[in-house]
Amino acid sequence: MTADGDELVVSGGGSFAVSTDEMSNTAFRLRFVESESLAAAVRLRELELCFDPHVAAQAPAALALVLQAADDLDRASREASQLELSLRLAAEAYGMVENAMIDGIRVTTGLLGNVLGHLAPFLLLAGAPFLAAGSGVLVGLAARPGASRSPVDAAAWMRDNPQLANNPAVAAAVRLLFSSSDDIIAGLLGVPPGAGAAIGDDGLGLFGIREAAGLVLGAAGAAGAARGLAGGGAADGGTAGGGRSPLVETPVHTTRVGTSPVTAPSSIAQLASRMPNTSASGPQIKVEKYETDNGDPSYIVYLGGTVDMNAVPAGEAFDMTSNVESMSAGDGASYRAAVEAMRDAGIRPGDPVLEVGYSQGGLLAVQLEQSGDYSVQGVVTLGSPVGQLETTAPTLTIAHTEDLVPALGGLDTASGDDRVLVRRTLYDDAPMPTGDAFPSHDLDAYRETAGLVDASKDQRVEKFIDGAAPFLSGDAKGTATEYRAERVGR
Amino acid sequence: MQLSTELLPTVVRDDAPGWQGLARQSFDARCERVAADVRRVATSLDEISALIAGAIVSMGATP
Repeated sequence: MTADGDELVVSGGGSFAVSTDEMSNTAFRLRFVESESLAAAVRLRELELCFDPHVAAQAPAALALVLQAADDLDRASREASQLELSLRLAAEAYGMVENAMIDGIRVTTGLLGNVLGHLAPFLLLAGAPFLAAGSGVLVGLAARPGASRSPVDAAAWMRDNPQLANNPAVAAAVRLLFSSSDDIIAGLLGVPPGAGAAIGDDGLGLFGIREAAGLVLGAAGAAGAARGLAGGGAADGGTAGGGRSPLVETPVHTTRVGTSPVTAPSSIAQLASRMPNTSASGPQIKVEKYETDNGDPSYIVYLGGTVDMNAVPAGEAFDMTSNVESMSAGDGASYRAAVEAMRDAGIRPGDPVLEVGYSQGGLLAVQLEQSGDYSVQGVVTLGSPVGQLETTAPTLTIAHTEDLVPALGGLDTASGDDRVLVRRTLYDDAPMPTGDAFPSHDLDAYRETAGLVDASKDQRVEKFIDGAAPFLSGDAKGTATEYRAERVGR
Repeated sequence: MQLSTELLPTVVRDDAPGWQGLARQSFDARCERVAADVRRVATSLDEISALIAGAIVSMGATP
């Protein structure tokens, strides 16, 4: 029995089944009991055949006991098999109940989102006096003696009080909200609820999270153009944004910053441990190259998380602008940097590649797989908003239920036999650490979860790890090259 | 009623329905029966081992 914080919940893999670690471990033990009992029964019956007649004459009860033991073992084997089946049925039932609940909530929030979109202009008009009054109250509260007055104070408060931003219920609400973004947009455009469903995520997919992100980018681009026309762009020249407009892309320059010898990883935990740390001046991308005895290369590409959360792009390539661009399936600076790094590392179209990404890096890993430009054999994402992004290659997505970042990808609807989702709740029983606004998104927390994934007995997880075995030899010698990507120009 | 009071909290808590409440009790009882079968076999094997050892000793002692 594991502590709740160590418990994984696995779903996907082409089945409805949602199973906890405890269920997977129990199923593993039952399969063991089934096969071992059966084998032992066979051996006991064989023993009966070679029983020495002299010994049998001296101990007549022994033979009867042997046959009785073999029968008991047969029964234990059958019962273990039935129990394992009922465990699988329970996991399937769980998945079906969960899917039914999610579908129900999704339809309801979709309708609400559409109605909200229809009413938004009127609500804004009618609510203007209340908004003004509310703003006045907030300003008054902020101005009271001792109250926080700057974003720095707010960030400090978030670090000291991370409970709200790391709450599973909040993350679930964010998932629903982002999944309903298409309905809200459809409502704003005056599309009736039924038609909204037909063209949204659940229908033709003309409006989804990607399209919503694209609209944000379009609006930002228009605002940037208007600002440029008005001469606003030059007004803040020399600031962190260097005169750039919010969420508007720039060229990127990728530099090789280091090369070192490396031994191939042997586990998911080791993959996670090699992920570049999120740092303002460090490398964001790492490419490991290994060669077979025949000289055939294979690569593991590590893609780090968002470094700069500001909407106005500064020098950092792994920033919010790249995030939103990638969410809309565009070529953000971080994506172009990854492509550049892979080209520099010598990756050719047919070379086997394993993509590993944390946070924004997971989004990039999926994008690279979707591009079809590389022979991606597997994708591992840690805390990434990729729940609705389909992949063809075997994909293992790891997400903490309290983490808001994967929730930004909406409900996990991507499916397929080779798509495995592992969830973990960090703070069910354990106290939440303070001093970090988003401890559930912490890379070290994901590294710890990756270790639990390695220990999982779930057959879908084991299948993914077996499939990634060519990259996880643990002894192949290779070279690791690190890259730093910076935005350039305007 | 029993089912719905089991289903909702277990889905919210990420515990499988059928892995909680009455279903779990029944599952545990069946697992205990399997364990009892295996324990009985272990006892039988000890008994068989003792019987065979006794038989061999008595065969050696028989003139």
